[in-house]
Amino acid sequence: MKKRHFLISSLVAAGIAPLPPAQGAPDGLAPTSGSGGDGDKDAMVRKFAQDHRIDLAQHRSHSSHASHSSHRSGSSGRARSPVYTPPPPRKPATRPAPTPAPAPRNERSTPPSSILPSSPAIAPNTFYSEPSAQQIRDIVMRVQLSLKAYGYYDGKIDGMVGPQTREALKRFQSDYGLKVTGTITPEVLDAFKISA
Amino acid sequence: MIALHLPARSDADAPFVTRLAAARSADEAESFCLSSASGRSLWCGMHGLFELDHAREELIGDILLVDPGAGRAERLIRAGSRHNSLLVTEQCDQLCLMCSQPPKKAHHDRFAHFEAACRLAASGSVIGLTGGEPTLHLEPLLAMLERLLGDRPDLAFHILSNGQHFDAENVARLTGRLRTNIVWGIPLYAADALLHDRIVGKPGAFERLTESLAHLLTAGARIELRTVLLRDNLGTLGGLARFVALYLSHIEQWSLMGLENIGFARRRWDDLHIDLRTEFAPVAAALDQASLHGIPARLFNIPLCHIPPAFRSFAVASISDWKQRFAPACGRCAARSDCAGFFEWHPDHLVEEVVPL
Amino acid sequence: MEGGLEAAARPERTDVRQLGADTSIRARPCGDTTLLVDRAGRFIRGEPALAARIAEGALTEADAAWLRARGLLPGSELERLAFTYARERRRAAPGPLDYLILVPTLRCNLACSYCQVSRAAEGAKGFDWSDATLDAVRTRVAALTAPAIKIEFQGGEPTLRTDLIAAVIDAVPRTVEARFVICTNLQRLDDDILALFDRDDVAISTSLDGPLALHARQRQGDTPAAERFHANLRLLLARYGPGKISALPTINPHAPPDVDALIDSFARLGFDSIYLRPINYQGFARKRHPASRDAGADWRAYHAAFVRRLIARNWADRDKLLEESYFSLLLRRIFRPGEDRHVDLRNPNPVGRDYIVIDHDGRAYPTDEARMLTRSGVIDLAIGDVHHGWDTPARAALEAAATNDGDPACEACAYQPFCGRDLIDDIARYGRIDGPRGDTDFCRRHLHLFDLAFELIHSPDPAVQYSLRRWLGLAGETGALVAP
Repeated sequence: MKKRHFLISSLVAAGIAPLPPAQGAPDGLAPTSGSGGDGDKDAMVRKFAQDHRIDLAQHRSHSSHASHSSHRSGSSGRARSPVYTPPPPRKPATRPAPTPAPAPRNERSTPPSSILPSSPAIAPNTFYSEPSAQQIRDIVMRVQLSLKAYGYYDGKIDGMVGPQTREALKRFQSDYGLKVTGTITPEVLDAFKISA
Repeated sequence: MIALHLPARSDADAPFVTRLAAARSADEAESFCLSSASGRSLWCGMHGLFELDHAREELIGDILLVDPGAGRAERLIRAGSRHNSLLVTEQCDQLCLMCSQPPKKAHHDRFAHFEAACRLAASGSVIGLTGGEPTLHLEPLLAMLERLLGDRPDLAFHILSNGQHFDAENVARLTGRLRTNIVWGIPLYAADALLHDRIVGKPGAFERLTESLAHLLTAGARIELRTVLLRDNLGTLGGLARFVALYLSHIEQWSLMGLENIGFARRRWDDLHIDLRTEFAPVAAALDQASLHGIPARLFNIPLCHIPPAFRSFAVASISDWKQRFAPACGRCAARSDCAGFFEWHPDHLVEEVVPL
Repeated sequence: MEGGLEAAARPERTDVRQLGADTSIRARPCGDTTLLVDRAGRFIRGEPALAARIAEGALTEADAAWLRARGLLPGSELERLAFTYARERRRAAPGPLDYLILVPTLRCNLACSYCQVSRAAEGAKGFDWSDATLDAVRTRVAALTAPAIKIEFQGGEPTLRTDLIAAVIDAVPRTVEARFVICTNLQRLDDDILALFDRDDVAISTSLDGPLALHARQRQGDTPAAERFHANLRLLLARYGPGKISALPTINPHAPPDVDALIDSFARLGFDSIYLRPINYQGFARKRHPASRDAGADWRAYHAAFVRRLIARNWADRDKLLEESYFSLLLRRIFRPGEDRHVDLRNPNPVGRDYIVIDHDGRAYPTDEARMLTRSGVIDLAIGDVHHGWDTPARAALEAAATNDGDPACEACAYQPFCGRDLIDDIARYGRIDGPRGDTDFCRRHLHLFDLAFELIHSPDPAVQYSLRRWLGLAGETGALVAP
């Protein structure tokens, strides 16, 4: 780079002092000199203010002497009835939102979620049948019959899961290496080849 | 109205939480549908068989709390709805003039069920916690949130609270995800302590609330301030706006809310209710003060045709799907999908008074 | 005042000696009252006698209660912490690099009389980015981590090198939301240029110095060339609507255009936002406009008259809303802590952090004016270059000085929370940054504008209230902005 001659020969000449070598770039968050508790609270609040500033600022663009940001952002000229224009959608690829959207919410309601839960794949279900609904009692009775046939149960075939049926189920599940719950699980239905 | 509670019969011996699936899967937390007809469906899972008085279609993906003893299943978290909330308690230490959920003496601890349900929620779910006053049980509440947000950092919560129980110690736990993933919905009805106290039915409430707000500010907690618009506080909204601008500029949002005709509000409707079509000026001034100071403000529970055009951008379609209704004339309205509509239990004669846009 | 009176009636005693440096309230005459402003930027008008008692530390109980009720004397814990929060929010802090001004070429196809850039002739060699420089720029752009960025192309005339612009746009990572601004004289349009302009993420910024004859005189030199510019501008307005294009005037403060003529020349084209900036007397401007160093009082008067004229015109025709952008910015800064995206008005003013200028030769400057000053031989303000970076002692030294904290005049000034610091402007005018603030054009200009702002904020004139409300983005059109 060729040496040029400047009217003002250096920053110092303009009144800008060089920093001593040890000084790091200030981050504007010098700790407070306040007494213990209050000073800590002040520092926390100031940190919150700066964090909050960064969160909010990221959505607004800079402007300078050479330009201004009024490409329809922020301030200017509203028509008589301002119509809300939502901020431009973020085009970029997946960036997980760090914080959830605030909640328009009633006393007993919750804020909108921008993500719908994934719906389980509706696969053909060999157990699914229609049109008439099965009663629990029917199935329970069939389970009780099966348990009886296998020698685990000798109570009434009444279509209700009482303590005896529960016990029988537990023993059956244990013997056959199924998860022991005492309830009529899908595995139990499989084992007894019961479909709805 | 969408049914949140369904009659049910189950062979389990204790209440349990399960997610409803169309087809069988390896997920032990799920119960799949054995059969379904128009008003009834039969399900099977690790907690056994259960039957619901509802066809399977709208239920797929829902997370239920099945209570065999009560013969009932509660749809705790409905798939495809943005309005899921868990009722933490019916106890409350305030008695608001317009309370929509009048308090009860007994508390039924359901934290274990709620935790189980939240663990089954879809990724990124936003879940409401409501009451009564949830922070009457702050220790188990925070403990549950700590566990949940530790294992499921994708979840987010919106928690209603009257702000009477926050102190330096418990607020110190609101760090990390308990800070970023929780929004506290806190009511404040007036900047005048006596008026606020009268509206919430508790002397000293305002003072105690400002203490809580100071602690929450130290923690950088996210706050949605909520103000129901009543005859009693309409005239003091300007003072409240100034208070918010001066001392609560850090909030996420200030929600000004139309009155819900339920609970205590129902018997006091004529005393409390304001017709905003003719009395919007104080609300307009408050919204302008909020905008002036850069505080995001919103209008909840007010149909668009009751709001002057210049202020409609503040309105949100806020009424939960399960309690929302429209007038017949709304069928012609171009703005219906953006509109809060009315509450299911809004006085009929007022529901008729709409102007399609 | 309902809530406030309740607060004032609380029995706690307020120790007036607590009114220390942290919570000090500063005063400025405002009409026949005094404007009282705290360090978080909250303000109220009060009696001059009260201001005197504040200055002497001799507040009465009634004074303290009055101030507390209006938010200027924090009492409770919440009030105290909220003050700390608001005060901190007014301080700018550097975020990640997210605003780049890139100068791919210094060559230009015009020679505007005030050109601040020491442009090079269109056919000249050696005034464009070398391949190595382009590579280095693309590397830097590809490494940007901010979620949203703005890249502005300046020159010379950047559309002389549409290939370089396209190369930069192409280098932006997919996960970054980017907006591009091309600053152009619109003297020529071709397919390559239109292809860039057509992009949704590209906006156009151009100069429009007022009525065509004036514009021609200052810029093209001859009217047919100016007419070509005007035709191109109208073509683009028809193609895109006014939202995509912003126009900025450059004004000779000693011979400014008639206010209405200037406003009309913008409004007629659909531009409702006018950013008044005086000719900056750098580069060629210093040779052709020797008087512009002392713009001072004339300019300030013009600016104020301009704002008042806008108020009158907005009131007369409610279907159109016109604003002067810088004044609107000041209004926002008064009411909203955190309004610091305008890089020339913020405090402290980070240097080489979130904002950088890369010149045609790869050198890095803290601002565009700094680049121009260097180009015109006044002082070397380069803080590095695109190859080696710019975290240099020069950068650090400039940044340490770029604040109004600690300056005795600023510490005594009521407007400090709303104001900023512009080192480059001081150097350009006076060669030094350490002169008394009150002697600088920056300070005088801002005092004048803030005085005007606060006069208008308290005005009972509905026409004034209407424009201020629109400029501040309020939905309601009538009523006072603040308590009297």
